[in-house]
Amino acid sequence: MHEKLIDDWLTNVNELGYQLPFCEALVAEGYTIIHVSTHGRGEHGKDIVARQPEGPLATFQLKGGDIKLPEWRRMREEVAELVQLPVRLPGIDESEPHIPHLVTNGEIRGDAAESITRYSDTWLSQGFPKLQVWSRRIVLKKFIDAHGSFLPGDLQEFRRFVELYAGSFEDPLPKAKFARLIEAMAAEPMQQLSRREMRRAIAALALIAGYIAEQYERSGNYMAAAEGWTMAAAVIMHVAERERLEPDAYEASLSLLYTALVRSLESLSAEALASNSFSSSYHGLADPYVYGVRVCLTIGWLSAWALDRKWRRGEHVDTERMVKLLTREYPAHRNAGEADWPFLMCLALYLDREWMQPDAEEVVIRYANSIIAVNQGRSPVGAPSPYWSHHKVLKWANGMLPPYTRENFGGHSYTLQQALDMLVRRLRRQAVRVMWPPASKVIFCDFVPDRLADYFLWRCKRGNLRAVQPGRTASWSAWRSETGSLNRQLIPSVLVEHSEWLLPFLLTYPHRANRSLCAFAEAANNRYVKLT
Amino acid sequence: MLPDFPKVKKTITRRIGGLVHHRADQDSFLGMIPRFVQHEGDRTSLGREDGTEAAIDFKEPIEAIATMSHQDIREKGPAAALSAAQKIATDITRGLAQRVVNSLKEATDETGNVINGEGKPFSSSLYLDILRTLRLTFDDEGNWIPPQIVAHPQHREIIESTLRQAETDASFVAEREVIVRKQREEWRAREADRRLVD
Repeated sequence: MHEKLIDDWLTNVNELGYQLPFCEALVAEGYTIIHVSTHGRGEHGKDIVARQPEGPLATFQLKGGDIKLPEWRRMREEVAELVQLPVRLPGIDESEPHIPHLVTNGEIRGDAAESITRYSDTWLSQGFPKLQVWSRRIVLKKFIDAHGSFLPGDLQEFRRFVELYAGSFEDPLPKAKFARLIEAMAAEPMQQLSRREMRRAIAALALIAGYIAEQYERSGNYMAAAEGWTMAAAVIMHVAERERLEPDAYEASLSLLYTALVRSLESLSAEALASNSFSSSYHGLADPYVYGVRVCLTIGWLSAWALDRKWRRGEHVDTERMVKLLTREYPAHRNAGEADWPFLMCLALYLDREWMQPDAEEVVIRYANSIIAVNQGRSPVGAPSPYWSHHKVLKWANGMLPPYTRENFGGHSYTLQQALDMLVRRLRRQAVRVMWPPASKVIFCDFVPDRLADYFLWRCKRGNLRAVQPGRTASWSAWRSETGSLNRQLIPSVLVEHSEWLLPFLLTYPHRANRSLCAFAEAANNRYVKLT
Repeated sequence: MLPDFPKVKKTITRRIGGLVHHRADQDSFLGMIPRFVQHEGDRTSLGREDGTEAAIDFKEPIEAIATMSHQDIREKGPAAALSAAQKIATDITRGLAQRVVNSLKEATDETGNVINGEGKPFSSSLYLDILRTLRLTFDDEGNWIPPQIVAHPQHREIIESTLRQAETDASFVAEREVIVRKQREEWRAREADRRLVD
């Protein structure tokens, strides 16, 4: 049954779609991935460069679908480059031989097989390495072997997997369900695994999560795909933190997931930046009901993408276009609840980095005021907590949830304090002074898991929800000093090492945007907070 | 197995469960108490305005039992479930209210914030004593929000009539006004303290 599902997936995916899962399969076999081409065709015909467990260098060119004679003729030059040109990558001697692989998720059909063999033999006789051809059967076997025993075997879990696998990929990712699936794969018995088995288990986890996330990518639902990659990475970070793993056990998978995330965000940003509106014509009459939420989600992810691309990877971002888009769409944002906070925080962090501090602060002030406003009066309604996803808020607002799901949100907030902290760090004393009297009547909630590793779980069993009624008088200087530094012991060490995942993590898990992680978002993106 | 409809029944059960929340919302006493759902974790701590902190004791879950006989089900159909659910909701709400009263009693006994009626019937002067002891609450405009009186149902009528009667007594009204005015000033002073200082 598993094989049939994977077979079906492999049939439908294109070469870009199975590239990263294929890498995970190689990692599970013990390969070390050295280079993955992130923007389509790899240099010199090499989409993937990896080192085999025994040491030799292997290069791969990936193709999608059956290869018949006409296709082979079209790709022959690229394959010749794969075979004949050396690997040119930092740290690798150009004279080092490599084993070239032509990989396809289809079959080699008709006369193509004969022609490929003849060319391969000719290149071999000229002193080039022998071309290895891996067609569908071999690739499928590699995927199935890579899962080992990690594919959900329990019927309940298997059903969950199938439901997710055959889901509706235009809808939001069902995060709670997805988390249940992949967190079950990382349950505590992993402690018994050897280092090699652990590495294999982590690769299998990423691979299985990839079967689902990739389908969102293929459907053009890039945000859901980005969330899927992030959740897979979160579970891996959970295991790494929980088991105190050496980086070599998880780095390869985490790095491949990051490549996948970047790819999804590049597609999302390309689509958003090319648009002249975020409107969707599908059931267009209902679109205004969801537009404000779409704006919030999109500008949040775009900001996280731009921060990562420009300041972490040092690549170009068209700032003018970004600012034009934000100026055009931000006014359409409607506060849906406290799950908005990490998205607006990302926007503020981005504007901050682009020297648009007043705009950044205005975003935060507007958010803080909106939370204060709904928490005033004798019977405040409050804002839906960050445990209420945007999807759920939309369903509730449009009468699609039964009355028993109603909660009382009035009088407390999970995010107001973080917004005020940002303003304190930016010396917006007057703004905070005006907001403080009504804000001091709101109970500040902050959830902290007992184990740092559990930050990465969708829901924690053990942890303390701290609800604080602030004192009436607040000291500016004490607040300044409290928010200016952050003890790194409060942050999972794997997240400190891999802070590239922080913003995607907070966007995917808005209920984790507590005071410490928001302070860390500042520490990772600017100098307002010092990590001590 | 006879034909069954687990999914439908699951939803109905959750809806019936919602009755308990609804009943608590409607309850004049419990409905006043702010509450929220804790989505994860195994404990909550409460930081108070004065900087002290205390763990919240969730205590044992409150249980309630209702029975539906086979005959009830045959004769009344869904109404049998509804009356059972209403009994459960009533019992749980009552248990919850009792628990809150007990907690309040524990807290007031501990702080000594208690007016002992010494077995005498409820009177307007006892009420004024209570007002003097309480920290009165006011809305954002400074309007007094009279305290909620929690009493056994059989005392309710006596309390209501005593207070109705007292409203016609000018000295009671004047004395109450003095208490409220004094406390309003204190409240204003406290509210003026809601500020950002150096």
